[in-house]
Amino acid sequence: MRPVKLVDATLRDGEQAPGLAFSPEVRAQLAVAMDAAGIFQLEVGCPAMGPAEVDNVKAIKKVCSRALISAWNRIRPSDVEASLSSGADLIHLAWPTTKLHLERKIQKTWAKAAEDLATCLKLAKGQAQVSVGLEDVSRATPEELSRAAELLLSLEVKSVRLSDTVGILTPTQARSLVRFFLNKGFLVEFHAHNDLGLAVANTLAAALAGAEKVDVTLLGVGERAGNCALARLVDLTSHKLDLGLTLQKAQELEDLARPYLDRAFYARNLLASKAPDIEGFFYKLA
Amino acid sequence: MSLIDATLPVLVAQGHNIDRRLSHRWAQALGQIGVTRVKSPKEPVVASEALYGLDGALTGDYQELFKKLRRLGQLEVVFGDDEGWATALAACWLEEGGSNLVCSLRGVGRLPALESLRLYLHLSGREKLANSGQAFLEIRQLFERLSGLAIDPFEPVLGRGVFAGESGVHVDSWPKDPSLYEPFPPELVGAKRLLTIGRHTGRVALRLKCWQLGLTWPEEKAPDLLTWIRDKAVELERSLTDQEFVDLAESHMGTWA
Repeated sequence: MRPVKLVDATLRDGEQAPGLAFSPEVRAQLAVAMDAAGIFQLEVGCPAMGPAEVDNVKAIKKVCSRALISAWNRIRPSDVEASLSSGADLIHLAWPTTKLHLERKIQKTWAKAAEDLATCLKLAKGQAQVSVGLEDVSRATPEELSRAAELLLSLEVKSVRLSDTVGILTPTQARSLVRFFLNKGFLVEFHAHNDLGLAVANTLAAALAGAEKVDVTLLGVGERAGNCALARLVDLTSHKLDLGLTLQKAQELEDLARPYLDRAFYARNLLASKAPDIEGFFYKLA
Repeated sequence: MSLIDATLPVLVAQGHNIDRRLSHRWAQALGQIGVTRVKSPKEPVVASEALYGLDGALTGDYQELFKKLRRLGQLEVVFGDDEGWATALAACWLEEGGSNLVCSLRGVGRLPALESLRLYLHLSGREKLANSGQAFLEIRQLFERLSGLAIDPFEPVLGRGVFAGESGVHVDSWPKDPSLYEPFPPELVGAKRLLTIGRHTGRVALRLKCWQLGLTWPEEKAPDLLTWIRDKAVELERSLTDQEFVDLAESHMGTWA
């Protein structure tokens, strides 16, 4: 069976799910367990959030002996500096693949964003491994995909993460995207979201299409409807791919995390809130 | 006809009694989101002549298989969930131009999930939804009443908390363009954006929360307030309720105007 490396993002994307906040002790406990279980990479935070987050990453780096520890970054030199100071093994940089993300989210020209990416890569060079995440890749036009690939090749980026940021891919589309980037010579990682309930199947399709790494979270926790759930993926891929851990191990990890991922209290309060709709205040910031 | 709803016969097969009036309302609500073939409680879940036994197809050359199957005409098509990917396989079937797909809300009866497939059809441009929020609300309520099952607040499409936001990166996108991190607008499925304050809160979220609660924006104290919020969230190991947020701020800054 072909090996596929697991990247667990519970301590970064997973914890971004509204309602959750892990204490340093919980973070360490989960990281140690995932490290011991054989998860290849742990994405554990965004050091740009501040000194406390830098300390969080440092602490996890200290207690993990095998897993690669990665940190998520915007294409800002200050983000990369924070991540480097945390001792992360891998710096992950998020690239806005679509015009929508370029113009509306980071509000830069393509040329300026490309320049910033180059600066960030230069900063990280020799100090940490690097991967670039193609955010919103599922809504990108063929031209945007080609343009991103050409840019990354010109900057000698080898590893790309394909992020289905809004969770709208089908398995056919996931497979096709993975093949497109494999054919360009990249090592491909796939990051799913579960908005249509397809995160696990899309991840399976990406792995079968040749992705080197696939992203998961414990119990599929994450923003909106969540991410790809570890144990469900391991279950679906048994006899097809080698993810480096057994279903039993995956279930044990999720059992360990379950109390910390319980959002029942939060959800009750959230849905009972009588606060006015938030859209009425957007104009003040637009 | 893309989707055939078999929710009611599945619920009957599971031992639920389906009131005729509710059954009628169910069909009406589904009709409002463009699902026009809704099986009655007395119908079989699957017609006597149907295509099934395809559950494992996702790991093979399903595109070629589907091309051949489409030539067989207008039979009902059933993907069971034995492999755990019925909805995904069903989406691939629709993507290849397939129709007559038997499904059920939330995939009850181990069928593909109707709500996900309906949103897939909308997003692919094949069958657009419009003004469907009220119908989704009705579908959600009726399903809970008919099945006795509660819909999880964070489950795909139907969860009422799916569009909650806390993290800086996501809430920051709301005033810029909410579609940055949303596959479809919440109002399309009868949901709302809900703002939470917690460990990942950034400045934009804090300002929005202050306005939402009618509190004066404490410009100079904002960095400190963000630190207090993060510390409190870590201490509680969860996000803050609105009241906890107000209490926290007042404990540091005095009574809020």
